[in-house]
Order: sequence, then structure tokens, then C-alpha cells
Amino acid sequence: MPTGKEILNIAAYAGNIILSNGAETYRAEETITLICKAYGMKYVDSLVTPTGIFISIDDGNNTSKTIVKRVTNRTHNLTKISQINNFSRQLQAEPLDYQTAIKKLNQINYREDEYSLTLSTLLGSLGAATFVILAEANYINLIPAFLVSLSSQLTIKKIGFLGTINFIPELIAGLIAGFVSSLLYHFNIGDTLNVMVISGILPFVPGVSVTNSIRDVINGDLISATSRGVEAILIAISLAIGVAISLGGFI
Amino acid sequence: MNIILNLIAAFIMVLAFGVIFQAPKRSLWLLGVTGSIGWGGFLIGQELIDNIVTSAFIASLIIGICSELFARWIKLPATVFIISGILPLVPGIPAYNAMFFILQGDYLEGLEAGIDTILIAGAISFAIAITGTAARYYKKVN
Repeated sequence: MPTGKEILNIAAYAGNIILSNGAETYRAEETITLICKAYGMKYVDSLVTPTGIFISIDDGNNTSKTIVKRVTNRTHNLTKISQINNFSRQLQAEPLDYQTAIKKLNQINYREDEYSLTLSTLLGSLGAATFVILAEANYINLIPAFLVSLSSQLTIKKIGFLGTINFIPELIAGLIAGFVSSLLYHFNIGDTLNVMVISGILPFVPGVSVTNSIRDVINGDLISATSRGVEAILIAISLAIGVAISLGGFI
Repeated sequence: MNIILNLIAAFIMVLAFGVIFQAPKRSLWLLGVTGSIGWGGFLIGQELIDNIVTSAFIASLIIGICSELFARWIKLPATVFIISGILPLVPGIPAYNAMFFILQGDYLEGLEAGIDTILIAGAISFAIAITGTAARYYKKVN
């Protein structure tokens, strides 16, 4: 049976993985509570914000322990979320010892991506290009939209250290999408400029953050809600500025 | 014919975004189905009411319900379906127009398009939040 400190480590690690891969706040808190309760803790309190996790546990014998975990990177990986979900359910059935639990979490955290870079970029560009059909634009825009989306995604994947700075990747994505689509439009490849630009920036639109932020408001997690909302607005603004900079030269 | 093409496009789009967000392999085809059903709801809403905000709200409600059902069926969190399912509804054109008009100096028209964007985004998120909260409430009651 793990000690209190080790239980906190397991819970904080699991919470960190699930939160930094795009889960909602309530799901992270629920996972942490489930894990601590599975190890027989009487009282569990957790406060999760998009930038940090705070957990406090009490086993009922007057010894309470607390851990603070800083969460820095935020991406999207749905496979990791569902695996952590399974992990917490599995713990309820039979509590693992510390070494095995950490090993399992390491396996989930450092697993290889489900789909290779080439596949996800190509398929993502194809998906973004189908926006032409949904927006009821002329179908000759399909191929240019594909090219615009491909170029913006490839640039972001190969951007190096710039990709680690907040909001810079979105700015550059907008810039590339605007530039490539105005170039194609200029040479009469594709006839609807706005649909082409939107296809290019569609993979970077902060739809998830907006939805999660409103869900957090409804659940009463006001700190998470405001910080996620501000993040979403800033991402949207940086995309728009990127497009505006490159289109400004063509209008 | 046009409608079928639309539904296929929604299928491909949501499936592709599932791949970008690294969704589990066994959920991919259901992601596509969620997208098609949601976009079908949007088209029906457009036909009946002809208001883009209401149609987006109805479509998101349908997507939320589908996600909760599929999530229980193949034992995955509902977020997997929601995150990529709502992407066809994202108000790209109004957002672009807002930016474009402001860039040209038509601040009033830009503001109009901006408010449209916020209304659609809000309708989508509220619909998803309502279905998500309802599902949790239902779980607690049972």
C-alpha cells in the first residue's frame, strides 16, 4: 500500500497528464478524487486550474498532506485522456502499488502518437479543405484550400523553438494562410479568398477552449473559466492579426 | 445530391480532425458519424428556421446527445466526440468577415460580423455545456 505522499504523486501525475492534453477541469478533479478514494483516503480536496493542480488529502487520522503541481504545456491528445480515464477506473477495481502505477502513467505519458506526422497533416489538410463544400463555395476551391491548409500546418510543425512561445504559432499560421491564399487568388487558382483563408486556419481555431470555458462557468469553476476564455480570445486575435498582416499587403 | 455531398464532407472533416487531435483508432468512424448527424441537424435547422444561431444551437444539442450516447457505448470519455464534432459549426466566415471589414475601415460592419461570431460560438458552447451537465446529473440521479 503506498504512503500518503506516494498517493499524492500518482494523483497529481494523472491529473497533470489529463489536464495538459485538453480535458475539462471537472474531469481532472474527478479523476484525482477517484484515484485518492481508491487508495482509501477519507477526505480529498482538489483545486484544478489550467496552470496548476492543488490536492490535499486526509486519511482520517489527523495527518493531512498537500501537493502543488505546475502545469505548463497544453496540447490536445484524446487518446491519453481516454487512457487516464481507464486507468482511474482500473485503480478502483484493484489498487496498484506505487512502482507499477507510476510505470503505467509513464507509459501513457510517453507513448508514441497514434498517427504519424505525415498522416495527420495530410488528413487534416483534407478535412480542412472539405470546409469548401460545407460553406457552399465553388468546388474549384477544394485544391487551393488543401494547399493553404497543408502549408500552414507544415510550417507550424517545422517551426522549431518558435513553436514553444505562446500565441506565436497561431500568429504564424494566420500569416502563412493569408499569404498563400492571396498568392493563389492572385494567380486565379481558386475564386473565393475568404473560404481559402478559413480552411488554412481552421485547425488552429480555439473551439475547444471556448467550449471548455463555458462548461467551466456552468460547473462553477470560475478561475479556470476566465483563464481559458482569455486564452481562447487571445488565440483568436493572434490568428486574425496574422491574417490581417499578410492580407494587408494585397488589398 | 448536394445534401449527401455535404454529409460526406462533414464526415471526412470530423474524422480528419479526430486524427489531428490523436483520437483513439476505434472511435474514428463514430466521430465521422457524429459529424454527419450534427451537420444534418444544422441543415434541417437552416431549412426550418433560417437563423444561423438557432441552427447552430440545435446542431450542437444533437452533437452533445450523440457524443454522450456513443461515449457510453464504446466506453470513451464524451470529450473525444465533442472536441472534433463541433468543428464544422465553428463560425469561421463571420469571424473572417469581422477581421476583413475592420481591416478595410468599415468598423460598423466589422462589429456586426464580430457580434454574429460571438453569438454562434456562445450558442454552440452553451448547447454542449447543457447536454454535458444533463448527462452528469442523469448519472447522479440513477
